[in-house]
Amino acid sequence: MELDTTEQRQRSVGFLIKEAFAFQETMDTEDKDEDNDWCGASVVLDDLAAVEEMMNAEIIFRDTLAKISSPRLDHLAEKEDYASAFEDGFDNFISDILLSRLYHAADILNDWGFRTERGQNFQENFSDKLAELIAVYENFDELLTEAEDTFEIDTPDARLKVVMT
Amino acid sequence: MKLETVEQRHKFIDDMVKKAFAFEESLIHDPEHGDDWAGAMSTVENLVTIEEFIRTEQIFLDTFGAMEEIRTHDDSGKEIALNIVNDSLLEFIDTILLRRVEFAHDRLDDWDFVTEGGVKFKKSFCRKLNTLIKTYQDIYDL
Repeated sequence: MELDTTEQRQRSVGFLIKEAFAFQETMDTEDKDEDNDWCGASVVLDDLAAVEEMMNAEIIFRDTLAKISSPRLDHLAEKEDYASAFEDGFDNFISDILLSRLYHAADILNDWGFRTERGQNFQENFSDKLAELIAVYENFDELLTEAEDTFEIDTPDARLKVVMT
Repeated sequence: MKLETVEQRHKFIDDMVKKAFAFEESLIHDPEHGDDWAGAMSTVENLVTIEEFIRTEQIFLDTFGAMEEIRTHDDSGKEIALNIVNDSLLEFIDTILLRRVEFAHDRLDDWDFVTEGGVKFKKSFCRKLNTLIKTYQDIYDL
């Protein structure tokens, strides 16, 4: 799955949430081992729901940065300074809030003693998926720079697009 | 408790997390009242997320402050840039932070606690969450 855009990442988390619910449905909570694995999924689900909301905040940050960097504002003095101050804030949000919650989700998942075979498959599968998301956010700087590069393609069409939005 | 500054609100939620967590822990060895424990646990989860959103609010405000400090002769230009950030902050508070506080409140309010401690916990924490909701509505004029 491609994870380059926030929307793709959000979709990936949405799938994980659905998968975790589906997994829980297959577990019989009257059985001690299956109940234990059900709880493991439950803890991860709380984190995933929070991460999903954080991605909504990420979209707000991203759109704000795009507005501040927009060619429409080229006439503002110190425009680059505003954009760079905002980018620093965006970076802080990603590393202190979103990424730290993803680390938390991965730690809790990896530490959980899953007892059934399906539980262990769930753990392995989710651990891989979380690692992929974490890798994207650890390299968030690069992602931002790429996004900026695309944004700064200053053709009449690109300008028009900005003006239209 | 005063809640005008983001630091005060952060401290407020931090205290709530600690108290709710202590309450949850006190029920953990009480299998007869598993529902009260689950109610406390779900509240702790919500509070932890609210705490992270208040830290996000802090990041927004710090960023706003850093942009305000930038020296320029173009005051109207600065105002345009600051307005963009301010609008985004409002959107974040309205659609993400406040919504989560309301969700936490409603969920707790709907929970049936059976132990005396649980009933007290629900009453006290619903009130605190309400205070927080009102504070955000007032401060950001929502």
